[in-house]
Amino acid sequence: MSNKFHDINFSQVSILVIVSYLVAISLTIITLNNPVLSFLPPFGLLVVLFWSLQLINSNHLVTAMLIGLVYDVLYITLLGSHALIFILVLFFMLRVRLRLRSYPLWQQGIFVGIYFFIYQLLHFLFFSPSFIETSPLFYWLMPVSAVFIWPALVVTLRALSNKFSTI
Amino acid sequence: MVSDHYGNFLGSFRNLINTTLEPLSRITTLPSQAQTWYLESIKDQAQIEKELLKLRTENLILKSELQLKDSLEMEVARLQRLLGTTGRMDKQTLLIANILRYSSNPISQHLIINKGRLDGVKTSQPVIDSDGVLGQIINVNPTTSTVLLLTDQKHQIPVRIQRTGQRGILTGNGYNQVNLDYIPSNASVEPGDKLISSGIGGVFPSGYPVATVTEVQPLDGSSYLQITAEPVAKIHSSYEVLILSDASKSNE
Repeated sequence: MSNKFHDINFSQVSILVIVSYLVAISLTIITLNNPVLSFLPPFGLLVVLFWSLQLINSNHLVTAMLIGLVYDVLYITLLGSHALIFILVLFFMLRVRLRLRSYPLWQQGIFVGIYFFIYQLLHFLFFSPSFIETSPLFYWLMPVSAVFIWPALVVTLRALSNKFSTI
Repeated sequence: MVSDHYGNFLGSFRNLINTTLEPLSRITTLPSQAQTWYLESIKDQAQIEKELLKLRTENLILKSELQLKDSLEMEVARLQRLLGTTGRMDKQTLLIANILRYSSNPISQHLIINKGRLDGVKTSQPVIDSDGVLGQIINVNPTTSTVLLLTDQKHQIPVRIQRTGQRGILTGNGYNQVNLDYIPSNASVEPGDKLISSGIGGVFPSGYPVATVTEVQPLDGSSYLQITAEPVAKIHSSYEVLILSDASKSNE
């Protein structure tokens, strides 16, 4: 299997796309109840970024907004605030996505880590989180964990979507 | 964003997303439910009998205290009539709800409970557990509702110190800690003081225990003390809560 993205249309993997978003939201709900788990990146945004690299025919901004609204409801924040950050991060990604597609996985991971650092910075400014029980270390470790989760996510979802598109 | 902040125009939209997400959130609680079910099933009978005995004893003690409480309540009502200040102790009706899941993360502290609009729950009803005030309802869906915990940064509750009657406002401060604001630096506050709801805001009824003071620090150059407190309710371990509603209001 090569490291390159194959050209796949949305119609070929539509079920997988929807299921991946549902799984991402479920994982987010699980991470809600433990302050220590705040070192995990927002899975919804990770999956949006993956599909924006995989399906280059559309710009996924509306999807990012919808997933962001779901995050706003889950975290009881101002409706649209997570959505705004999601759209911003996705916009940075869209600017370079054609170049990013040709990079090896670890290099993509580092880029994604930088994007998630920007995300966390905006998150910190928007919501002013409190760190009573958890140390801020977990919170700021989030971009680092995104660097390691990204290759795993890409390998899994790419294998699945190759399987789906060849059926 | 502006319309959500300045009015509750998008409340129904928020409810829509919440309701569509409900099956997902039920699925995510399955593993923990399976774990509790397994732990329940391997409990042996001796342990269950012991627990039953303990509960029976507790029930007996509570009932005997209740007998006293009824006569005391009448006494208080009689004395209040004499003083001309009636109606300070409102009758409350209760609704028991189970906690579906908690959320405790750096930006929000809330609970999802299994009673909703179909059970007559309304927004800004106070929620308590067996020890004290937990929070208030901020969002009602058909079968579930969201409770904002008093430890959330967005939550404030008017309280008074039981020992002195000094009034202040309790603000959430994250995981299991609250701050008591607006207590002048010449007031008498000690660690261990009980804080009870003062009923001034109109949301929480007067007289329910809320928190215990843990630390008092004078701030240089400020005319107020910096006081931290700990909620008396078992915020992270209770799984049954009570929703209070004003009996006089619900009869209308």
